[in-house]
Amino acid sequence: MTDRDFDQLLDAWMDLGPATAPVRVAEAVRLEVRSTRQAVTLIGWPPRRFPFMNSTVRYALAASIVAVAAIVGYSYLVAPNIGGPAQPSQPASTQQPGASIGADLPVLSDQSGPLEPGTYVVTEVEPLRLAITVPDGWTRNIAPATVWTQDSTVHIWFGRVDSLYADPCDASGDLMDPPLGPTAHDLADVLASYPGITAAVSDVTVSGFPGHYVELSVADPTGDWCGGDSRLWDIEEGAQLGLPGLFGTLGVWTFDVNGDRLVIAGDVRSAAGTADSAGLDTIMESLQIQDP
Amino acid sequence: MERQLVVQAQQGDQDAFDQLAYHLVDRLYSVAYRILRNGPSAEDATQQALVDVWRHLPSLRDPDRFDAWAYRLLVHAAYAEHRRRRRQAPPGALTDGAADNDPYPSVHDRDQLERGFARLTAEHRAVLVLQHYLDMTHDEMAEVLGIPVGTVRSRLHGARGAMRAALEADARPAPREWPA
Repeated sequence: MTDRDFDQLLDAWMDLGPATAPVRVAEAVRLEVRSTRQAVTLIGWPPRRFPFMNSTVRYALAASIVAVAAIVGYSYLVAPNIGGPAQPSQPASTQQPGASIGADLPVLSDQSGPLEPGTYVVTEVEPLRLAITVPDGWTRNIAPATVWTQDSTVHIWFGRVDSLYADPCDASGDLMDPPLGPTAHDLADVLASYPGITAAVSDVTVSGFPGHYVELSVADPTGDWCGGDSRLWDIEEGAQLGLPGLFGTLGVWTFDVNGDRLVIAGDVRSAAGTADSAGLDTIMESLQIQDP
Repeated sequence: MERQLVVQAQQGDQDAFDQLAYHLVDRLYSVAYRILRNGPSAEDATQQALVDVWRHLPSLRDPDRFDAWAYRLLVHAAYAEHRRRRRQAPPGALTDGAADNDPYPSVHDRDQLERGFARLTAEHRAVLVLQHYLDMTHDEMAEVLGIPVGTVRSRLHGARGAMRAALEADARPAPREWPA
């Protein structure tokens, strides 16, 4: 049987079966919707307030503001570096923990479509706020917190990983036991120990938050590892992130952000061009993390 | 018209959503049925997907992407339903069998395809249905499923290989029986 015959057979087989739903389905939906509230969408960030502030707290807060102002004033007006050469801007990787991300930056849309080059705030890893600068030729994917190149050779995902699959090639989907520990180190350690995967681990710091970078690739890139369909963790229900097939690499950055583990995965396909890979570098070098 | 209904339903208009659901239910059910190969399961997945559509409509920023978004919720509901049924039902109890109203493919082929399909994961089933029933491109499938195009291709490759193997298993010559 040729591929064409096989396709026609599948097409014809798929055409068999019902094309209309039983009436009871729509009726059941109608009734359920009457008693189901729509989910509220959070827009922006509420101002942080201390609603119950007694006078002692108020005076202590005022005193600390005065003290900070005095220190800052001394540094800029009295300290001996006035008029000296300007300090080079610090790269994102050495900023202080919790560095503030501009409130006026556009939020990365959760709808798919091409992105204008520029800096965006990723708010889908709540309560963290991330800022990334996206070069030309990148697109928002419909998957959660994912951007990719227009030719889909490089993808970057931002999120959390609570558990890993025990075997990336096992479609039954059993999770690792004992479960994954809570730190960035725990994740890096386990990723580096998967059989059949080559891993290189290094330490990284972004916005003052310590973490690890793990570069993963298939140990035997000439074989059909996992049938080209591996799974490491869920990015949402029913969708998993795996290794990008033959001759591709998966870079995983993981950070401890005040007890919260942030994970960023950069999936680089073998077909990725230099500009695509450079785009990944641009985005990751621009990364800022803010823990509000 | 659909766009207007989507916008109205996003603002909590239940009557607009009823109309939207009326237009959508057959399309979603027919896809769910083809993934799950089981009527009651397809009904449950369709119902769940439509309720999810209602609940999460306010988060849909581009009403023009409504169809892809709704299919995505449906596929996820089908995955969940498949897992639930698999936990509850004995092997082989998950399909209704094909309808008998078309002479092509042959009954034999249909039976083999059903068997091959029953052994696929929900993820592999979904890519086959999106390609062969909805005629989606790889890019469209990637968007609906929320996975990279490369993963779509590899899943299609795996699913087609399994289906082909099932179909060709009985096409091989049977071993000869030796005379007693």
